[in-house]
Amino acid sequence: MSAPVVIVGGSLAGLRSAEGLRKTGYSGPIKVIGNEPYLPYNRPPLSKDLLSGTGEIDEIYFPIKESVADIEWVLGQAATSLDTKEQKVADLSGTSHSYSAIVIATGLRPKPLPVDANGITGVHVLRTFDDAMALRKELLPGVKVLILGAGFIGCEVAATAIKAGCQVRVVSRTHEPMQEALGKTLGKEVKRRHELKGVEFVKGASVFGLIGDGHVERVILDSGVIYDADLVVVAIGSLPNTEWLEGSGVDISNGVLVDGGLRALSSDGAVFENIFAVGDVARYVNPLFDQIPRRVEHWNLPTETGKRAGLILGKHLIGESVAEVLAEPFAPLPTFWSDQYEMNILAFGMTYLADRSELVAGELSGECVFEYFRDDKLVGVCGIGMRPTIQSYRTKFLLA
Amino acid sequence: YGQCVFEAPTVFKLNAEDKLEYVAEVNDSERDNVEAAVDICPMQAIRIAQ
Repeated sequence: MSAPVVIVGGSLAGLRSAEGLRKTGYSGPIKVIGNEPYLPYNRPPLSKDLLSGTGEIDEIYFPIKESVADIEWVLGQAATSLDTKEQKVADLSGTSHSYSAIVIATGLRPKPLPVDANGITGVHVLRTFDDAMALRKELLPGVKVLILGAGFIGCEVAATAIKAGCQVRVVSRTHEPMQEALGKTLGKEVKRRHELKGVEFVKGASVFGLIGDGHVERVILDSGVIYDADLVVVAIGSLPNTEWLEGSGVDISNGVLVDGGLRALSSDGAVFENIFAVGDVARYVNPLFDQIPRRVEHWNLPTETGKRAGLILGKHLIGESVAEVLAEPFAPLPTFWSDQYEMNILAFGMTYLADRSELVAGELSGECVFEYFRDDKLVGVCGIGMRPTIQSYRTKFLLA
Repeated sequence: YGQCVFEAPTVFKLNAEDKLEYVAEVNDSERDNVEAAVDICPMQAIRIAQ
């Protein structure tokens, strides 16, 4: 029997890759190695409903389709190395897994606290179900929460913590919350709404050190200011999980560099026919915008990249030509959303490439829609509420 | 979020009140599109019966 396709990463992108493989008619073995002990689950609720409610993991599992019911799951095992000559992946337990092809879907991990915590506890991150459970039991009324970072995760955790009755302070380097994605005007408005709910923002600072007897009690900022805090949430971005690929020859300069077929490239630009990368860890060109390869961390892209990688790999494995599929440009439209209080933010495109934004519908203080331009070309749309209007933009992002 | 509307426009639509409307019985020819809509729903709120 031929060696299985090994998918490294047991989350959404890995699952969609497996489904895509099966759609082509590939019926050989598929093995998924995942470092979390869970089957694939949906992460967005981790900072919202699941963080405030009483929900458990079974509420967020993705359905396992019949076509992939025969997958072998190796869970709770991180991959530790890739040998492309012997075609083997090793995992933390020391087991070596032979493969016919490999799909890299190892995703990201949160950046840690930028300073040494000196063993002081009460510092959290939020990426996994276990992270959410650990944080949830601490979000009690009156608890002083200091959130480091004002991106999507930081703002969503702030909203959830307020709802739980916590006192919330958000410390960030950037000027306005989610400014990179929303631009300054909309970012400022989001801040205003958070402030109305009681969140305090501290700009232009980071953490210098923690004070506490075992558990955190106070946080010293690099500005010299000291705040009381019972809990610190670090939400300052993510790092790609690619250390296990060191020495494999795959280009891991920032995530895994892939071609338009999601096939990994070597450091000298050669294509690996049987190594793919999908989801948050993949770095690729999106011709809707330009020719610069990027990692894009939005929810619809694990599905878009996984489906395409599965299709191309499946065809390759059953001996069909992949030339036709490869000739179609890979140009997925990034989608993101964020729910904070009664505020529903929805966006399409790559708003953070923009050099200016313009209010085109509604009112800033209520529901509104912004267009985002780079060199006068529309690169994104984002708004609060007004979803039908925002939806109508989906067809406006066209290949040049 | 209306992601499904884009994947299967003959099956799902957002009405003027931003509420989702859908056709309950769909032809097999729409099956791939509906499956794509299920996959891309951020709330994972769509189920295909049989």
